[in-house]
Amino acid sequence: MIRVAAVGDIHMGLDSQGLLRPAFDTLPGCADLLLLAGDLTRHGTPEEARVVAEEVGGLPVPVVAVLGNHDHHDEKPEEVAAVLRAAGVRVLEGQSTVVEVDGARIGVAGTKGFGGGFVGRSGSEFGEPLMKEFIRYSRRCADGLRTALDELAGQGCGTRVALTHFSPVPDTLAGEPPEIYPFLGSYLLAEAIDTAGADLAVHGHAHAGTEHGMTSGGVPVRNVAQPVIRRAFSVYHLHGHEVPTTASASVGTFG
Amino acid sequence: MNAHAGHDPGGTGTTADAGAAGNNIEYRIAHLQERLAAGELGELGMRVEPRGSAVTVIGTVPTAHCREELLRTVNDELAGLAVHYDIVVAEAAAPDHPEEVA
Repeated sequence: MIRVAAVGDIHMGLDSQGLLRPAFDTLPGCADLLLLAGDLTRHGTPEEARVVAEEVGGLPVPVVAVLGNHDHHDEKPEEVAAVLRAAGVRVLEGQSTVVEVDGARIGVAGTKGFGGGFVGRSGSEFGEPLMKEFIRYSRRCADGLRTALDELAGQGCGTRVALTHFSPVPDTLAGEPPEIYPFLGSYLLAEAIDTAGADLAVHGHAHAGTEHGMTSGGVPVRNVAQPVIRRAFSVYHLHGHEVPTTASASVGTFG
Repeated sequence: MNAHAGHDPGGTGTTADAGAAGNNIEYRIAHLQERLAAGELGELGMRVEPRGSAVTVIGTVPTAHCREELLRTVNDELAGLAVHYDIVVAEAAAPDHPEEVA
């Protein structure tokens, strides 16, 4: 059994120092890894990223993160990611990483993702260049997620988790105004998850949404935005598959 | 257009529209939301809705400081309007139980 802790949308600023650390210090007793589902800062400044880094730095469980739209606002996502990586956080964008727990291999594939909407109510690569680029960017994010999940399938991971900021499904947006769903997620993410396969999909972004959902392919989806889960993190117990020991032992990439 | 708002000597509706737009509760809410996003809070998650003659502001903020800043900004931007708040500061406690994902 794998114990996955996850939270998103912690929106830390300079006034947030130390708020979540007491709860994170309990992680070794209840979780094998911590996933951060983006929007870790308010404006994506390196100063805010340092607050997050101090909050999770030195934790005895691996920390894996994707960035969110807030983490891009200051247009320094690479700096934000670098600050987090310096604190030991594995920051993913179209990449994967493997965590080993008592001989079991847990793979996490991550992307920020983007919007575009859901089947029957989505944007298309059509018209103005900006509109086409909007959807193409969503597609690139989804393609990166699918490729990363595929990589994990070849690396002997008995459990695979898809980590995004934007939502792959509309289920977990329930509570948000339906008019803004296209800004909250994209079916392209769910299609990538269902095509490559995963045991759990975790996202944030939708503060007024709902925790539980599922892709049309049957993968459980959890919206872990802190305003939704109403605690420092949620913990999910996953019962992964047995994987032949002849599988590749190479460790997935993370930048 | 509000036919009763402002003075419109030319009969074009332009002056009346300008006056009406300045006091239009929906536009004031839209401007508030733009200010919340662009300002110190970087806040995009508030539900701000007109209800009768008042405005409701509902949502979750990361810290008590953010709540104070939110109240200050809303009171400034919506001065003169009745505002009802339901603002929660995010819970920072560890969970007391896990979920078994089948």
